[in-house]
Amino acid sequence: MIKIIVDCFGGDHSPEANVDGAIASLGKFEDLHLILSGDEAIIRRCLEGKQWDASRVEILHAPQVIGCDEKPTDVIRLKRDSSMIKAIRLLRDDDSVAAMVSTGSTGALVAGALTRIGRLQGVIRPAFCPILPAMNGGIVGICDSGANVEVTPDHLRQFAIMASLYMENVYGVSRPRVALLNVGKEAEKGDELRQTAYKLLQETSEINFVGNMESRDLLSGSYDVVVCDGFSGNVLIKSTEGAALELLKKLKKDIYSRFIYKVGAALMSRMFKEEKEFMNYQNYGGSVLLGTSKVVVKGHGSSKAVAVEKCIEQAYRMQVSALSAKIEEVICKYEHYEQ
Amino acid sequence: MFDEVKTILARQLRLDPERVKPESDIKKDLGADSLDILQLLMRMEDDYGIVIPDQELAQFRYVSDVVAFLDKQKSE
Repeated sequence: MIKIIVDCFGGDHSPEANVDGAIASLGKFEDLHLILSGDEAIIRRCLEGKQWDASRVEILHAPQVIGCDEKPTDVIRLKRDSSMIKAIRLLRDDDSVAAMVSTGSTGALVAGALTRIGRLQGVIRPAFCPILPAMNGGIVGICDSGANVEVTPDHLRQFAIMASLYMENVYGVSRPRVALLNVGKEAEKGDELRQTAYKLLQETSEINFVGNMESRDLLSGSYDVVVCDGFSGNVLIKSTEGAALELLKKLKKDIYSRFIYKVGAALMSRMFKEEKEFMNYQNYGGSVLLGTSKVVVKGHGSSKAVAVEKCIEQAYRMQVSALSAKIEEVICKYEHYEQ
Repeated sequence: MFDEVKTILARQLRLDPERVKPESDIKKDLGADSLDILQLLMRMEDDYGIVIPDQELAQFRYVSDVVAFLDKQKSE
């Protein structure tokens, strides 16, 4: 049995989307057992009228909710009865619980997970690894995308190992191509951090390091994992998403500007729908926190039921693939000297 | 109280409990880093229903510092 806690509050579409996504995920895996965290009366109202196997669902009553505007370092200590913190505490204290999914405050989830759940052996800093669709139909993982603003070359090497194993074990990518985010492709490009990290990544035989990557190539399909500090990773994702959204807006505006364009667009409507679906982040689940001693998946704040379902699927696959043990095994081979 | 702190630290840092002594420097002798110490303190806060003031968080160097703080909290 794989037991996963779903924090049902804190997202834009919570709790309905979280409860609906959770119930839908039960149909995918027969050995999945869920614990829904949050106000029990509200969760029960969301469950009314739905078909669900009561023997596979529990409710962890947690009357408080953490808002996205609250200071993470305060709320993780003061809001112990919140759906997120109660879920984190249960994940820490109950050995039978394998993973947690939340669409709530990212800061609170990171702070709560790091200070309560702890890290895998040898991991210096856990890191976020979201997935984006690549233009060749594949996917690319970005590690770190925001958990660590300041990093060392050791951190980057660990991010590369963890993300590479994640892509291989959860998404079935064979020998994931790992790149280092930099300002140029040549080995000597970038600052001292990037130059030292380049050498460390080259020396790491467990990963398929293919060199530096410039940000414009993120979605090219030439890379499976991009390694970077959390600040750069966050900027990379948001600027990529922003550019894509603005381009789509302009395209739409231009199509409506002339009748002949509208006719052309009508003829291509099926393709537009397919492309929209391909780029819809809801279909790619959440950002996993790699390196924590138990699995933590952070869904987008705007996650709808389908995205929550995908997040639960990610958590399930991480647990079933024994990813944590594999990460520990590789990480412990390398001595780290900066903490 | 020392035994409780010892058990938690040993489990968290994957150490032989016998290595944890009151005079142990949590970072130097037990190999903990700042995140490990925060994790220990969060566990204490959860278990004892207390909130350790921010200014105290950085003061814990030896195992005995943590034990003394918790003993004081318990007696208040």
